[in-house]
Amino acid sequence: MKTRRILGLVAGTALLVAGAAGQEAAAPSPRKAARVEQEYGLARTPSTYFIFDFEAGKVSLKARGLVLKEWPIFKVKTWGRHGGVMTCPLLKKTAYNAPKRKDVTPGKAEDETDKKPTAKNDDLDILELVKMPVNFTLELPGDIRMNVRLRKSGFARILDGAGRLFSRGIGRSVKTIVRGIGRRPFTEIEIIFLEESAAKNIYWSFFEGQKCILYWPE
Amino acid sequence: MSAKIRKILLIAAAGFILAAGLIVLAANIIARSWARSEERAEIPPPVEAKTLAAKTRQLESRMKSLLPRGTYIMIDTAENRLRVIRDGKELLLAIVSCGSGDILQDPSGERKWVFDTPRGEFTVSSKLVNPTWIKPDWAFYEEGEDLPKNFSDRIDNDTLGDYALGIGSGYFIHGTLYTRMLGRNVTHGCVRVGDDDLKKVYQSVPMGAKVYIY
Repeated sequence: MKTRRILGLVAGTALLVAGAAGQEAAAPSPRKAARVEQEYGLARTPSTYFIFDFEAGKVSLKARGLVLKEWPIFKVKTWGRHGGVMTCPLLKKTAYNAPKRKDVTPGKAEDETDKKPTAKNDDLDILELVKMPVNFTLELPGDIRMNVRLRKSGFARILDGAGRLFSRGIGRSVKTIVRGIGRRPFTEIEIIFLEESAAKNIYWSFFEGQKCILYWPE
Repeated sequence: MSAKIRKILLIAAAGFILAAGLIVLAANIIARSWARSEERAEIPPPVEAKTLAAKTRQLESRMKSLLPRGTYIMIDTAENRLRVIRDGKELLLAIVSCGSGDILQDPSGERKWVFDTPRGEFTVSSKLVNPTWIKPDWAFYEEGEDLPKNFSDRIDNDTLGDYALGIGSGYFIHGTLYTRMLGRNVTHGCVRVGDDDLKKVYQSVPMGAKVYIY
């Protein structure tokens, strides 16, 4: 009986010590703590928000802390000022082939009953996911630009690489020097996806004024 | 090509490469200094690890309390899909129709309607059987008709199907006559659901349930 009591006491003490040690070990980094605080600020509102988690390599669309959709990032390249955690609204999204909204002409609205459903999407002049661009730019406050694009393959990849070598290597370098002289830092982030649907979904879901969190690795 | 021209071209090319290299090098130094200064700026004031951990745990538990409970609806406007979730499990996946994104302006140019399905968190505020649609002004303008003088001319008992769930600001999850268009973005902002799925939604989703549209 006595032995059992002693064993019980030892086990209890061990559990307490382990618990305390666990709590010490679980102390979050200031960045993680800042992220939780910033996300809580967004989750308190009824709006949806994005999290660009460059550390985990994923983009999440959330509401009230609930993940609505998530897309894996293939590669992230960052240039200029960056780091930490940041909450900001989307100012503008631009694309060469941005889809346009159709103006309905009164009295000439498309009669849905006359339309035959087809696999193609050009039979109805409406905004749909398939019409969303895969290459586009998201502009955020503080001169932050996120260029979203798809990973190309084959010859297109070589051509694209050569073009970007010039634009990134020379164009961006000149811009950096000019901005450096004027002490106006900027941030350029390039997000590359493997899946076309990821880029299209982000263009669809991320609207101007909607907030996002940028979370860079430690 | 003479040897002299070849030499000039070679020097020019070398000069270009050297200049480009210097530009890239200088830009790299500047960009790195920006990154470092940002890192310095990001270091928060020293807080004791225990305090930080306690605060973070508190915020995480508050975050968890914000998560929807019980039965709720998720509507993906991009994929035109509606999901009913109960206690974390998917009860129903339905193909629906969401807003077309079209724009309509009234003849005087004073009012404009954008036919988007609204996004964000909403609440089921009404549940109706055999709902009546009170046709708004845009429904007449769209058809090129004048606004009716009698209220009774606005009443439409056929369009919304057997059930409707109101989510506020005149938006509903309702039935449709155009079932062939399910899966396409063709509505004026409401969410159209097929008859069988609509019945299941109506039966499984209580008043006050949350609706997440994205």
